Amino acid sequence: MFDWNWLARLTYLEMEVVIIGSAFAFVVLFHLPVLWRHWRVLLLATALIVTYGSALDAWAIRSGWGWFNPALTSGIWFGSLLLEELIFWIGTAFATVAAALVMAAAADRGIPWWALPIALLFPSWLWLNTPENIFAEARG
Amino acid sequence: MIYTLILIGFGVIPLFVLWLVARRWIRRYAGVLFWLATMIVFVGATWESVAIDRIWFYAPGTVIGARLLNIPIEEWAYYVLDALLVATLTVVLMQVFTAQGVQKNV
Repeated sequence: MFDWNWLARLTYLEMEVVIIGSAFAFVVLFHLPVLWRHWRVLLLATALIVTYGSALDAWAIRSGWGWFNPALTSGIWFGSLLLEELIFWIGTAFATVAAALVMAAAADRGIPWWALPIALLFPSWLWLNTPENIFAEARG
Repeated sequence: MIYTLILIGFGVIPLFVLWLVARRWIRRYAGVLFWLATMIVFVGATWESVAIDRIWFYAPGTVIGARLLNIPIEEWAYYVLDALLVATLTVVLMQVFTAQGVQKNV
């Protein structure tokens, strides 16, 4: 008889695929030119955050300060680091660094601070190719 | 309580040092820091409210115990600190690499 319980163990992974996967697809599809221009910053910052965060994460689990439900997680461990947590750190670090890079590029382009999330929501080629004096008028 | 100490030791102090080193850039990109923190608080709280006490748990005594929307207050602080650290690191590296590129081109 097929054991459906193992499907439940993919719960955390499924959450990550939906949340991190959509954020990843969004920033790459909408902002590839900006990410490509700053690829060294993107990789270095992501690597630093993943190293720092996952080391703290593993330390916390090893020390017994928190734990994961074995019925809803894969059970694949790298030392004290759960596979899902490694994916969490890589995915969220990449997505947040990418979002910071895009908004910083938009700020450099002259887009006012209050409009930075709007710049993130629109493909970057739109505002990269917009004359700067339009943003200057918006800034007042 | 240990979570609070970790946040101070590995979040607040490195952030303070980075802000001291890169004051000018932080001022220039304050909007980036503000919006990234806002977004991470929103996404993090949504994510955590689904997962906490189901997928992951905190040992008694690790957190103070006060909760907002069933999320420990330390987690709210973590969202903000994480966003500020990531944004600050990104801005600093961006400026360092840009400066290197300018020097190479001179």
